[in-house]
Amino acid sequence: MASSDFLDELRAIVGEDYVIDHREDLLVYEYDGSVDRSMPRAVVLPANADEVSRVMALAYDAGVTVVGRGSGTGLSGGAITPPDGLQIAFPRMNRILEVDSINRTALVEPGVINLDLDNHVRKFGMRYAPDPSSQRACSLGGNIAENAGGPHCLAYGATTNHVIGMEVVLEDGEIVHLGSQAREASGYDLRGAFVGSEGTFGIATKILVRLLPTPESVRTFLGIFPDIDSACTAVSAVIGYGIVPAALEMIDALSIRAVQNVTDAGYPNDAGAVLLIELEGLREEVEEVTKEVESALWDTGAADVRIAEDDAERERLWVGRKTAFGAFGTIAPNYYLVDGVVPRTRLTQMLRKVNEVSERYGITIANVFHAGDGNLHPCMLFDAREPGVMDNAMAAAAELMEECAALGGTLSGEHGIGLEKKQFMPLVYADDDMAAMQRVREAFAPQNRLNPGKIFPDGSYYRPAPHPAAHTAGLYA
Amino acid sequence: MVASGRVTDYAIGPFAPSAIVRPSEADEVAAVLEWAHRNDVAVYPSGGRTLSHLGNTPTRPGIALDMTGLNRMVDFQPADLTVRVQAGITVGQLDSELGQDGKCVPLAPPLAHRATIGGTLATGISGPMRSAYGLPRDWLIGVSVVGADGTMSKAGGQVVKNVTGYDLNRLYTGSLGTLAVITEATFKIAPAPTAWAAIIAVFENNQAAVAACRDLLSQPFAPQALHVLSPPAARRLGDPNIPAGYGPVAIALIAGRPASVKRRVEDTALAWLDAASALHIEGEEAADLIELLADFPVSPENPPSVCVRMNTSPDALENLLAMDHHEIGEEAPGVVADAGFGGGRLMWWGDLSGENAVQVAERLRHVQSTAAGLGGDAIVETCPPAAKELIDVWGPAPSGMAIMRRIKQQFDPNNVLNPGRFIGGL
Repeated sequence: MASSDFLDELRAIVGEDYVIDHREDLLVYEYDGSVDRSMPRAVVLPANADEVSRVMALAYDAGVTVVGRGSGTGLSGGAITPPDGLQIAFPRMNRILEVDSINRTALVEPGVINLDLDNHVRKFGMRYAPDPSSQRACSLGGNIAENAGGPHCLAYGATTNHVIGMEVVLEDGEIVHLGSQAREASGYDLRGAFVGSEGTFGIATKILVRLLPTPESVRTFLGIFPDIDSACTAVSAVIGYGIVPAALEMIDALSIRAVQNVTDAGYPNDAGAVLLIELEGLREEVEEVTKEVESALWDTGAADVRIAEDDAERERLWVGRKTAFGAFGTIAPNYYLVDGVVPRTRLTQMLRKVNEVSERYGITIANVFHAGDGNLHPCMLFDAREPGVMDNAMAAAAELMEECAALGGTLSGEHGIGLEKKQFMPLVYADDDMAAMQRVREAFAPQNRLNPGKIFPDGSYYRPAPHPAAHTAGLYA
Repeated sequence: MVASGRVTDYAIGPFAPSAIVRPSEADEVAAVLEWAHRNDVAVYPSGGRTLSHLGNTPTRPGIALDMTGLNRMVDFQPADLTVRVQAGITVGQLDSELGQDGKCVPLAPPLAHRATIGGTLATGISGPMRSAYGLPRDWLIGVSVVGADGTMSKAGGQVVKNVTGYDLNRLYTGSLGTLAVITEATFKIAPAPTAWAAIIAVFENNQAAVAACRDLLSQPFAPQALHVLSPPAARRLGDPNIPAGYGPVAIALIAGRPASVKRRVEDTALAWLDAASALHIEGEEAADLIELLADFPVSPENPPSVCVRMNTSPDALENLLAMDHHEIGEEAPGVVADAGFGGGRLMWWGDLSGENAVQVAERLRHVQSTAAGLGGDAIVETCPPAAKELIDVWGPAPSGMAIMRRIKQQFDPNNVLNPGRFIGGL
């Protein structure tokens, strides 16, 4: 792009103050939570859908690539913009437009922060269920792009289960509505195809989300295990009994140490692993299932089972889980977080592989993850100043991806493919599978002008130098 | 694999296919589609033929592709809570196999003992418990399909959480077989309820019923599903427990573990003390009522001559109940409204074959525009063939119609799969 005319026209649309093109101002927009880095030509901050549409139409006519950015917490490089590309960010489109108690919905702009929405609707006795670990920072627009997950997706499903309709802007600036106000709509499920398309189909400018009533009763408990194998067996036992808790998280010994270094979450320092389990529902239901889960934990070798006595204790248990990635800073200055999924019964096998890879590559790996749905997050801890360490970590991650695929799992449960894993796609999909996916992209964005070069292993593709410094912040998961 | 069934058995309204092919494996499906593609022959995939009347009338001659020969359970992993099946297996058979292990995929399409998994996914049809259990798309985690040119591909996988690549599972679900033919599907599964109950209450008028439903739905002990039937619909449903009164009938459906079912029943009964009359049923009787509600739109005993599915939000409940004046000829519709999920159905039972097709079509278009006015849409599931020729049963083109056309063009450029039957003639 790049002519100053183009930037002038952008300024005419969004206002002088909302086009960023000075190098020093662009620094914060050159990376997200992933290892990749690339400085966009300019960043534009529109105020409404009409401005987004006009910006996109302008870029389309000028042949400029457009990449949407939420809060930059993404872990697969979804917001990384090519050097000649235009980034659109949404800090000004951050209003909760409407909360509807009868329909149990909220209409929001894409820049609304996940936790802000949840906190707001709780005043009305409702909740927004998807809760990525970055929920204090990540935006709903980004959540839609990545089909974000979180611990409570075990019972309630990922973002796609909670989006009813969207107003989106296509690559040429056209505004269309996907889904409707009703949860079912006539025609192809374009809404379902759009969620998780990693910003390659369009940019959402209004989002109608589904809210759930807050449960009558919540019970949170900690299963304490001597080693990770027995904790894995306990996960299989709980799921195998046909119990699907609201959340079922595993925290290994190294992560326990890291967490307890920064806050007393109530995790015992000598445990081999703990399971953080939450049950929700009617009092009677929670009562009954609690007994079953407790006996499943004891039967599989738990050293102890502790139930949170009150809200404060429950909060403390969750603070431990949600600050784990920040706490890794007490062990090593940098981390690289891997996302992978295996069938739940293969967790033991997969974690043995993680351990073996850790030893063979000489990389410390901590595990804090969504055990209930088989979604692993091996987290490699290192000092990026050591020469060759990033390459080593990447090679180890590649082996883990291969193992996930070999065990009948997949590459990503909630972080997306982006730049990070596009070269691994052939591990799980044949060319014909990916060709079918590309057909849908052709239909939404025939010119492939939105976030190109992501997800698929071929195509225009660049890979800037890794930027491990991005990983010293501890918000991501 | 050319089947000997009568082509009239595979009719889609007035349209009869020229031949029936009944493959028994996915590679045979691929061979058929590859042949059809090469010879430019339209293909009409067929499952249990419980909803074969759905959609617009076919626009090209072609063959029926009977998928019921692919009827095996491929892989059941109870400890992973996943199951993989071939598309031609019936929902009833899957229910019974999973039920032996205390598990289920809570789909509940009409006529589940005949409806196939492939057909349930292709139509995206949902059951009476959808407000608690969601839609078919919410349970599907992976599919294998054969494309219009015979190419086999898959989407999703075998794990319950997956954001690897685009979500084609959701695109195929509800696409009426116009993009590809589903040969295999993997679902996540849930523990099956062990107790069932229903509370049936008659209210003075729609306003009282709506108020009672709103109140109940805001309670923690709200039932898994809540439907309101207008008096004619309640009479036609044919459940001996439903009082033949003159007011709207609310049915709270409750399922789960015995202790929570008991609590929901007791508290709902208390909340509904104001109802003109209320009764509650349990166990088999309640499960039968749920099945009756699922089958209602295609009930073999009492099939409606016109049936319209309303996709509207929950706040349109009262508007929906007020649509009982939309007569066709002399016949007023019965209304079944899903208070929890939103939407529902309008059904006309009388013999409407003598009615003027133009007037029937006019009425159906009016219903569709009323639905649009409520922020939703209306799908004409059943109507006389002559009227069908005059409308798009899927309603007016939605905002994303141009994208839908491009998707169809991408997946089926020669218009081989179910041509003309989907929205906008896709």
